[in-house]
Amino acid sequence: MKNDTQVRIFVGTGGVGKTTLAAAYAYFRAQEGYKTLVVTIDPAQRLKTALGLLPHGHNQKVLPHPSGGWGDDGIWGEMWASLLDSKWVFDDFVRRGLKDEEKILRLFKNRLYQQLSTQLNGSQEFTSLEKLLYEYESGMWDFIVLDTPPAGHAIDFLKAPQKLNRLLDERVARWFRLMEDGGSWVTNIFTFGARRILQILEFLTGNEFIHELSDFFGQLHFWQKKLEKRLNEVDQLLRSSLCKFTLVTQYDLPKLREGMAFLDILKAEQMNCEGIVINRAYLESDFNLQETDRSDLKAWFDQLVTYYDRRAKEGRSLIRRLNPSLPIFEVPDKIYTFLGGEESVTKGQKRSEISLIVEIARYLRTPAS
Amino acid sequence: MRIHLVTGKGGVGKSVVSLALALKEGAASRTLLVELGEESFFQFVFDREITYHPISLTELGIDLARWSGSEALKEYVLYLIKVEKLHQLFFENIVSRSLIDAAPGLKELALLGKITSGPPRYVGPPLPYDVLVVDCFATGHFLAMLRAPMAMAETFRFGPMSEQSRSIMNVLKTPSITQIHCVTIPEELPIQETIDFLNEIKSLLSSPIKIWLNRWMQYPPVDQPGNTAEALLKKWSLAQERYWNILSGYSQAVTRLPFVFDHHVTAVAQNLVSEIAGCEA
Repeated sequence: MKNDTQVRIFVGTGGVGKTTLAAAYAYFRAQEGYKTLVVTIDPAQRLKTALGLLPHGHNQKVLPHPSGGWGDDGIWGEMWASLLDSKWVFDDFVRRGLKDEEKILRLFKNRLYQQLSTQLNGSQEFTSLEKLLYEYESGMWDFIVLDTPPAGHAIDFLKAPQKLNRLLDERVARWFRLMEDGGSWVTNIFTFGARRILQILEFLTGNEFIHELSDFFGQLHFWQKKLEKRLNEVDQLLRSSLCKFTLVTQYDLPKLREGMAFLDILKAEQMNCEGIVINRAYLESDFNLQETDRSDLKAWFDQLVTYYDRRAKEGRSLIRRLNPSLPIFEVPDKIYTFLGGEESVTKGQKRSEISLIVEIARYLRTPAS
Repeated sequence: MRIHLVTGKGGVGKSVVSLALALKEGAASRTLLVELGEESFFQFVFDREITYHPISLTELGIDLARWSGSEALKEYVLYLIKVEKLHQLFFENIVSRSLIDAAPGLKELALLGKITSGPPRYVGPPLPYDVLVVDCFATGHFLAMLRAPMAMAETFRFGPMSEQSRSIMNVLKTPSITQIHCVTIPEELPIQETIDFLNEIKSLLSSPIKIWLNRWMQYPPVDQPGNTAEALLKKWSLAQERYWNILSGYSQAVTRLPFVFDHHVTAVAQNLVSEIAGCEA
């Protein structure tokens, strides 16, 4: 089956606005007549409301903004949005892989599985990629736009699947299966070295932990192959020409430098980057100084404008120096987003808040430089 | 030993506030600022590689280190088994390596073990500091880290891991040693995340959490807006006040830190030191 679904992945340091920008991108592509899906991870209530997202993770249809949210000449493709339900995706993946009801239940009961599937170490990264692959394989979309899990650093997203893969390394599983079968540490199926290591592990963690661990790996091997295959497919998709990353960052020097370092990693991994979005790049507000004679007001606003200007100037010159040869998109800081928005704190939010996304989508059409 | 653990949503200025806290403490005590995880933020601030072993920022009067879970675990294992050869064997083994990489909770436990390795536990090599300021993960990951020793202690009743977990929890639960800080800003998502965090952490620890409402804009006062510019300003400052009120409804310990019109991390932190000191006095 020919599948030309385009994949766009929005990465960046925590709190830079990945989710909103991913949604805006999907919106902008729908305005061009495409059928798009945005998979969000952790949206603000305001965005959830705007997209009509429900917690169960099903895809929801998003309607264009009633007052001119269509594209040029009234074009509107289709836009869908979903909220990643990480636990569900993980369990579903296991269910599909194991098939045997008894094995499934046994794994679900394992305490280490419970921790792995819900919170720690790359499970959310894995589930978002699994969801991506699932939707990609459906062949239903022109564009799938993926928001990435909150992480301290952009690189964390790329590292996560490899970590999971290493955990499920066949050799590791075999070890623990042998232990299950052999029942005891000191059976001679192990080499001397292996025995020492297990002894150290037991010394460090205790018998009970080892037991749970071997049970966990014993169960895992049933979907080992499937997971490995899946991670390989994901890896291929991420490296294919259909998949492009967008780096979201801000004119904040340490963050910007970290973002640029991430670009180098993408390059080294032979993954493609489509562009850099600088969120909150400059100030844009309805505030009009001409309307007031108060000097303290003028002074305050002047200070604020200078702050933004200096920041942007340094940021731009850093980018110029590093010359990533990628289009840069600047999204302004509206003083109301910078303030969190008066509207958002009031009750009774309306669907019309999609206007925020419409507005941001505008800035993703033409690069600043 | 005093331990400050700093968390907050991504992008709210967690690292800046951590640095400010460390600078404030560093004026009187031997202070170590610690970043957690594999990647460093401060390397881009100070243009230096930040390693597991502390480096001195002599101009600022504090030391700085970056602790990753795997390094903390390695150190801990070496401390326990003492034999370098065995240690090597253990860490070069594919099983132990992948376990350390991905086993749920192990790295988190090792990190907390390292953070609480000073008195009264004295587990591991000595830490020659009076104050630790730890720039931790964002709230979700931070809570997961705190839950690690709890889950271990609950799941496994016996064995060294459950013992260690219990003693780590004890240190974290002692208010005279450990203080948890949550940094936030007057914007929708960070405020919501802070409230969720406060609700969640209640079930883990009963000690009070300090909240820093960062980037508080000091607007010129407008009582009676005479024109649209003033009306706009009034509207913005009221919106900001509302976030303050919402937070204050959840906690007594909220302190506002002013928006600093400077975008350099060290300059902002230095500006905040006196505010933080003033609040503690």
